[in-house]
Amino acid sequence: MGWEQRGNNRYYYKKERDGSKVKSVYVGRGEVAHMISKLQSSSAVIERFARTMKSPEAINQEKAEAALEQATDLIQLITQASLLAAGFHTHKRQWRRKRDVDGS
Amino acid sequence: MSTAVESKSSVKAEEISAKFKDLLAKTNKEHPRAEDVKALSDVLSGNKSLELWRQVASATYLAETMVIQNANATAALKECWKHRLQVLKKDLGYDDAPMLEQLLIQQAALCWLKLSLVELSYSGTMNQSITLTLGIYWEKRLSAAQRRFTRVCETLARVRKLSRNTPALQFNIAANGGQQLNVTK
Repeated sequence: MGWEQRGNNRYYYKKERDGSKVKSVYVGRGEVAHMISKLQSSSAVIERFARTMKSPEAINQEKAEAALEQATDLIQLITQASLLAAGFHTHKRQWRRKRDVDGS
Repeated sequence: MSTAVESKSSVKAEEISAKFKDLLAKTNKEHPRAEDVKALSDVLSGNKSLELWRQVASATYLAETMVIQNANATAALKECWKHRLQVLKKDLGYDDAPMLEQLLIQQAALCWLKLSLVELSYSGTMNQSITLTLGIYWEKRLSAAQRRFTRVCETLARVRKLSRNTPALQFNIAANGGQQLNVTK
């Protein structure tokens, strides 16, 4: 987010991420752009403040969810590994077993 | 649960994930190299595999403890949830299931509990007048809980279906001292 000099004038642009690329999106110039930039910078301050003021309960909830997410990912990985080791593979997101593997 | 134990378990889980992601990238193809598949089998069933399964089980146990401990409820209610989880696991065939299915059943039960807790909090929050940001936050949490639950149920169903058609999916992990674990491969 910021002011950029283009020719003789300064214009206000906001930055938007699109995958790995960052785009500059034109917002405006002059009084209106100044007002928008002030509002946007203050909303970032408010968000930062809210983040620091997060309740201990909310922090604990987020920690528990992170642990659950991690355990879920780990089990998914182990499952995939077990199936691969047993002779399965994925084809178009579908698990298939090779015909020449024992037990099929 | 102490923070030291949580962070140690988290680091271990990340190490295992990184190791598996590398092996999966090599083996998840129609014609993987035999040595890569053998390396993967060794990780799952070799001498050190017992430690791996323990680590995964402890990550699940840690998640269960944290979900129940951090929930906004009385101690009595938390005990009821623990009991409900045991009953649910039993209903899903935990006792007779191989190791991998046991982990999946445990995770499915836990994700169900978490989804119920989030739904409860969500409906409580949505009854009040709230800001748009808070609404989006709760929508995201609910979607994540639903996605987790669906994902683990699908995986459990898939493993059960594939192991039914593949009788040779069980093998034993020999632990030190002759103790053995049956693991679905």
